[in-house]
Amino acid sequence: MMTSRFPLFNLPDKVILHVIKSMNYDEILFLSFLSKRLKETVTSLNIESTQVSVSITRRVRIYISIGRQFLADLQFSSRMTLPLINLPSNVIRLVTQMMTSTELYNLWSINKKTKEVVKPLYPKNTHVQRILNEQLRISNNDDLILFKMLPRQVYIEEDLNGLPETLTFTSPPPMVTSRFSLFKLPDQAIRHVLKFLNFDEIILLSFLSERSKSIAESLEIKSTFVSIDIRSKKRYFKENEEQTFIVVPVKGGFDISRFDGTKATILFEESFESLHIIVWHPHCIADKDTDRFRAHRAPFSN
Amino acid sequence: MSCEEPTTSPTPENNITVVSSDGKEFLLDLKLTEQSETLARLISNFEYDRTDVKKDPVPLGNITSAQMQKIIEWLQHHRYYPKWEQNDIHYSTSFTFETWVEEYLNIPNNEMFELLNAANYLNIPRLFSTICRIMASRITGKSAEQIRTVLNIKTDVKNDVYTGIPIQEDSSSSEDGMSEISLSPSPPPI
Repeated sequence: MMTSRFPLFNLPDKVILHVIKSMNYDEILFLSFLSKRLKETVTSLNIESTQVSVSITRRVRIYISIGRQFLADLQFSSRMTLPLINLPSNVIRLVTQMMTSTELYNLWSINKKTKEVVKPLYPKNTHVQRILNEQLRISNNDDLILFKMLPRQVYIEEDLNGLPETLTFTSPPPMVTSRFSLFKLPDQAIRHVLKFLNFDEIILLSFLSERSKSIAESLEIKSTFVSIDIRSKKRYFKENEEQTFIVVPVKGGFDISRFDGTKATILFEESFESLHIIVWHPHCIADKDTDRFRAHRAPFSN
Repeated sequence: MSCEEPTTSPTPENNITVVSSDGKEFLLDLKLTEQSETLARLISNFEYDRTDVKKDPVPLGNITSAQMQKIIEWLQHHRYYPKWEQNDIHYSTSFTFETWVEEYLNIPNNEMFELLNAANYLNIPRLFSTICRIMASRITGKSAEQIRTVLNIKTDVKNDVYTGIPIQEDSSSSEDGMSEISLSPSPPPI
C-alpha cells in the first residue's frame, strides 16, 4: 500500500493539520525535518517541549520530552546526517555546546548558512569571533588547545623566562576541553584564526615554529610605539650624582623602547614595594670592568 | 463498536438522489445522510426531510461514482452507530480499528487520498478521522525517503548543514540520517 502516493500538500490546510495531528510526536518531529513547509506546518501546531537533552558519544541522541508521557528519541550515527539546521534553536545550542572546537569551527566555517546557525548562539565579540567562546592554551606540539570555560578569563601564571616551553595560560577549571589542530589547517585558515587572537597571543604563537612565525609575520602587524622584551642578564647603570657617578647593577626588568630608540627598564624592587624606571641614555650605560667606582647602594633586581 | 445492520431499502419518501461528478445517480436514505454534515445541512436548508417537498437531485461535483459507492458503503456500515463526537485525542501512540474498517481502508494511498478529500467535502467526521489515523499509521517506521515518496514531499533545504553540498530534490542523501527514530521507554539520564 506504500507504493502509491498520498500528496499531503494537495489537501486543504485543515485536512493536512488533521493528518499530522493523528501522528505520534516523534513522527511529527520527524516530518518537520523533511521540508521547510512541513516544518512551518508542524510549528503551527504549537507543540511545546518540556525538556530537551542531548548526548553525544559515537552517536548523537536527542531526547525531546513533550508533556508527561511522550519522549521522542532521535538518534544519528556518525555516518548519518544530523539535520541540525532544522532543529529548534535550543536544541542547536545544546548540540553545538557539546561539539568539539574543531567541529564547531568546521560548522562555523563551512558556509554562510551554517555560520548563521552557530553565530546567534553566542554573544557578540566573545566569539564565534574568538573561536566560538573558547580560550587558548598553546601546547608544545604546535596545537592550540581550546578551553571552554566560565567565567571567561585568562591570565599568565608563569614567568616569561624560557619561552616558549614554560609559557602557559591558565584559567578557572575548564568546562570542556578539546584539541584544535590549528596547524593541520591550510595557511589561509590559520591566518583566519590568528586574526581573532589578541596581539600578545599572536606574538606568543609566533615562537612555536618557523611556520607559525612566518604566518604570524604575514599578518603584517606593526607595532606603533613600544616593544617589550625581557632581560635576565645583569647590566650596569651609571647613576649621576653632581660631579661624580655611581654604578648600579641592574638585573631583570622589562625593557621599553621608545620610537627614537631610547630604552628604559621598569623594575620592581623588594616584592613590588617600589617601582623604578631607568632610562638608558648613552651616558648612563656602564661597563663593570671599565668603571672604577663601586656601587654603594643595593643593586636593582626583580 | 459493531452494530447489526437491519436491511432497509430507500423509498422516495425517505431518500434523496445525489449525482456524482461522472453523472451517476445514487439513491441515499436520509438516515445515512445524517452522518454527513454537508448533506444534513443541505437537507435541512431545503427541507428535503418533508414528504411534501420536491427533491431535486443533489450534484456532488467533487466526488466520482467510485468514491460515492465507497462512501455509501461506509455510511451503511455505520448507520446505527452513535453520533461521532470529535474528542481531541490526537498525538496518540497507537490506534485500533475494527476488522471491517481495516478491510474497508485496505486501499492504495491514492484512493485513500481521494476518499479523504471526499470525506472532507461531505464532512463525515468519523470517516475523516479514521482515514487520517490510518495514514498516520502508514507513515510510522518509514524512512525519510519513503515518507517523501508517499507524501510527495520535495526537499526544499538546499544545502546539507555539514557539508554545504546542495541536496538534490528527492535525493536519498538525507534518508539515512533520519531513519532511526524510536520512542524511548524511560526518560534519559540528564
